[in-house]
Amino acid sequence: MPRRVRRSGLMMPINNPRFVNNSWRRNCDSLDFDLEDSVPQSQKEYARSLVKQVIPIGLMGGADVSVRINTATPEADIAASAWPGMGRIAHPKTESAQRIREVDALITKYERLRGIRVGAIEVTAMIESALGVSNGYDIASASPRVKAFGGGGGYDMSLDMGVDMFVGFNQFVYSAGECELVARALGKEFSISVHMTDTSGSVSDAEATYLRAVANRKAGGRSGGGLHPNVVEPSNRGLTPPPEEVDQARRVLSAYEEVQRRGDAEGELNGQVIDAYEAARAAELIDWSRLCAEKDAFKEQKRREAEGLQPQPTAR
Amino acid sequence: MKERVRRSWLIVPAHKTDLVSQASATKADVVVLDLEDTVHDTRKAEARQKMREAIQLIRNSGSEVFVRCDPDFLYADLESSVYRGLTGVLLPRITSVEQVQDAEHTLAEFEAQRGVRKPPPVGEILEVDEARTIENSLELHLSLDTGRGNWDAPKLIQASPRVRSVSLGRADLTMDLRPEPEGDLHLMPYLMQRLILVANATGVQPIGAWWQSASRGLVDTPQNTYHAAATGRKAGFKGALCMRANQVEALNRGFTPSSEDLSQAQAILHAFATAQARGLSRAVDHRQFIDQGIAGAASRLLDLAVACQATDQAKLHPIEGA
Repeated sequence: MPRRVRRSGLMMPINNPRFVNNSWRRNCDSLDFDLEDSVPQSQKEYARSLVKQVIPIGLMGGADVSVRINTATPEADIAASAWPGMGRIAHPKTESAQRIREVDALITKYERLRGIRVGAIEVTAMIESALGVSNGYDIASASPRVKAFGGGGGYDMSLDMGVDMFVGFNQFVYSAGECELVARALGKEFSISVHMTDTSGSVSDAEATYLRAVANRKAGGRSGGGLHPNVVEPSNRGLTPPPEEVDQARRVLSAYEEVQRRGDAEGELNGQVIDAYEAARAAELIDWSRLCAEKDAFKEQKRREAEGLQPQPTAR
Repeated sequence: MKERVRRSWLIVPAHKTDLVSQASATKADVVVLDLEDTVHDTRKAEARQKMREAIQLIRNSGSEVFVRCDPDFLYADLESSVYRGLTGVLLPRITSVEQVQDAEHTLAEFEAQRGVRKPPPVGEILEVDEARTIENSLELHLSLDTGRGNWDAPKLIQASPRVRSVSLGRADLTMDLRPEPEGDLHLMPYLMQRLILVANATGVQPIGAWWQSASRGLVDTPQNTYHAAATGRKAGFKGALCMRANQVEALNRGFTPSSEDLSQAQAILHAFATAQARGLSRAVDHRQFIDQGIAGAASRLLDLAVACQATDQAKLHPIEGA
């Protein structure tokens, strides 16, 4: 399966037409429409009725489209969401493998009914509680639709654990570490978020987002998300390797070829160790850079096509 | 079983005679002769051929000898390595119980065939007619450098009684863990603490150091190595792997209790003994209550210091051919 490029995401209430109708112009890699916490209880039914028409709006800008469902109403939410074009269904506050098996079965049912290739819709099992972390391995193993796994940090986790969110140390070393290890043990993709002291909690700070995205990329992270349009561009930019790093990666690769030719396992380039690991890292960076460029070109093309078509707003 | 002092584990490519000879002069507690990662495929045969001689050279210099095998060439690697003088086998990239058991069986086979026993601590003499027990059988060291290996650490360690120590090996490279802004390598604090917990729960030695930022792959400067060792010792590690001869001294020093630690431990024991003489169950000094537990820890620290010193002493007069 080809690697997805999901450097930026934008989560928005699906019942807000101003957000939704402009979402495709945001240059996001992923658009995440919410049926859960940002939608008031009285509007849940209405929110569900929007999903089918919102999917093509999201796709207009070349983004992947996902929806976040409610733990209380998986049946109704999945019936409303499993339509062609839907990339991913996110189940929040996941605490059991059984729940993910149920979600999988429901999606399969609608994929069959609606002419979608079975297995096409991915599932994100969001881990946001102590119980979720404890059952992480079983949850991640519960369905092949769970392609990426992680969590055990963030706002809901801090609420569940009764710890402060904005402190000067990494309070999620264990919980987030365990979720990442589960993903690695099962050979699934994972996203990382490095610890950076953040006492403001701002969701719209472009500069802080860029610095965090760069730090994540340097620590091996490849994906990001967000809640505010301001953070999309800095997420994209921060997670894309700059040209000088790609050039350096090419030099590492040719240095390694030279080391190999000599029948050695290890060499040096300007004080840097050159070996199979460095070569693998360099090759990954070059590959990632190419995928980012492809995603950018795809989004650009989709946006141009869409602008030529003058889309009609569909959600009120 | 009394744990041997193994503060420094220096990995050297087995085919590089100059590096092996350099390693023999480093006073490393353990030298790991490598047949895996640092040996290019085209040099593996040469490395295996040199193994028997290299084992003797290192053992005679007063270090314990391990060999790091390539799991893909386990039989050939063990066949060339299970000779008198070898203490154990370091297994990287272990992800299944079958791999550990396979290694154990092959190892046992060559051991029996060739009458090889694990050598006693450096400086002591091996009795030739000693009966075979688990204590004098060659050891296994697991390097858990993958996600799968770490997740299954408890059952992998318990797959064989020969497993006596465990490390993350080159997890930072194998799992591509890179520095975070605040210094630690991504995921490593979790992995290190988990490993230390699992090792203590299963009764094996946790080997590792608290490597940070630029330390990439066990090749850091002596100064950073010392810092990683000293921090690692406080976190629960007993010794660490390294790949450069100039790191050995830093590891030995970092994993040996400092003179400050020792005088503090002596003061604690003194205060506790005084309190006991007065019929009290605990003493109070300016910083803490000193009870049985605190005194026990102080006493173990002094034991460790004595054992470190004995190990260093023994290396000065290794027994020829031991």
